[in-house]
Amino acid sequence: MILTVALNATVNVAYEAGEIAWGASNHISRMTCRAGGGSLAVARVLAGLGEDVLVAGFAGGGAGNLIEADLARAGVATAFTRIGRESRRVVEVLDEAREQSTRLSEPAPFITTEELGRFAGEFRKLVAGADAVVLSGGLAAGLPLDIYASLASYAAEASVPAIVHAGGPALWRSLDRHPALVLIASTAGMPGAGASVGPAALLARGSKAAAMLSGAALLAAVAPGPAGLPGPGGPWRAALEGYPGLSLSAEAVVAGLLPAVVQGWAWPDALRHAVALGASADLLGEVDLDAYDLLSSEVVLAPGDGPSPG
Amino acid sequence: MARLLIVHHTSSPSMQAMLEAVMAGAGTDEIEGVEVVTRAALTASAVDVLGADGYLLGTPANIGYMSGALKHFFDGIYYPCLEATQRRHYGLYVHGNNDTGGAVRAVETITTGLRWHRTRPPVAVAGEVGPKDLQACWELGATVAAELVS
Repeated sequence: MILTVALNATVNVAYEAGEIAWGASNHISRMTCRAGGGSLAVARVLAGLGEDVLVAGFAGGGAGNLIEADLARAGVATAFTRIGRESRRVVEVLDEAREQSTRLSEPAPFITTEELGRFAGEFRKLVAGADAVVLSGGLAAGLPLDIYASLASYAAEASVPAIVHAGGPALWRSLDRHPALVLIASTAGMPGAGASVGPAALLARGSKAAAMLSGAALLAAVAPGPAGLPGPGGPWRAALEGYPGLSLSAEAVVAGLLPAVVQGWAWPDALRHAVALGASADLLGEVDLDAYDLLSSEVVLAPGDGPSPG
Repeated sequence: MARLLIVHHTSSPSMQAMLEAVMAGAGTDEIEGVEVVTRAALTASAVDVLGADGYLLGTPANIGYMSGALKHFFDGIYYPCLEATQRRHYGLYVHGNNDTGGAVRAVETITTGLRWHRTRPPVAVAGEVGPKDLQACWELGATVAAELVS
């Protein structure tokens, strides 16, 4: 069982209209309401591939109920810690005539100390039965920045590998807890941000394996020695060439790298799988399996840790 | 008369010295028209926050985070005060044995959500509190008080 943690689960509401007239009443032609957020997308990808996955984290109010129901329809089991406030909504309005999309994001709910304490207790029970834990996505208000570090420590106490996919301080603070894998999609907010922050720098700070997304490429390295995971150390670069403007779904990439952590896949195989999956999944974690089959044979793997020129 | 609310968790002689300096600055005779109210974090309520015009927050840094007492305070006042206290001025002082950055960031994450306006950078002291630190605390208190009547 893969345990994914959603600390700021979201309801994504999408409205489509032929043309939006601001300041006027508009009829919507189509509306969708889906559970979203980093860890939820990872869970959806994994469930689509037939994995046993459980989502924990915070959910509250009617929005929380929508999140649980949508995940259930996707075959994803949930064990949310209920909070007193509504989970947040993100509303996207698509103006088809102008081909413009406008997003309205609610603020994250404030998590009280009592709610955090309940979640910590529940997490420690759940992680004991997991094969791996995925910590992905943004944080709700009121949560300490080192929450992912704390959860990675709890996972380590239970001998469960932790995968961290986050930005800035939340990820940086987790590195010295030796997560099994970290994935970054940008260097924003990282100390020393710039060309120098790559997989090697993340390994130096304590992660056992590290990967970085750069356009349609995935750069990865594994720490050598007993602390590292099976396989050569890399670094490697896996990419889909000839697809200008293509970007990979980070959440699908996380799901694609899991077999290297949990099942002992060779890292080159996991990287090819992750890149193909990342190119075949949408933001919510729905995977086009036909696209995956086509693209997985086109992933190019080479040594190196430089950024993709495209 | 403007009201300045000081919410503090004072768990050490260093924190006590900083609190006294902040209170002295906030209550200086040079600034007229400000009433200073002081509450321990464990007793401060939404009523206190709603009834004030600006805030001074004081906390030790515990394991890279604000004190549990101050977090408990925020737990109780966040939603009741979310709409009514936007753009109010606040100041912060923090003391820790080592790094205070985590505690400062944790408080600022919440005050950002509350849309409180930080009057000046926090006074963050790691290690022994010296005369310059106490002077900075005095100035912090005076500055926030002065903002309320400016």
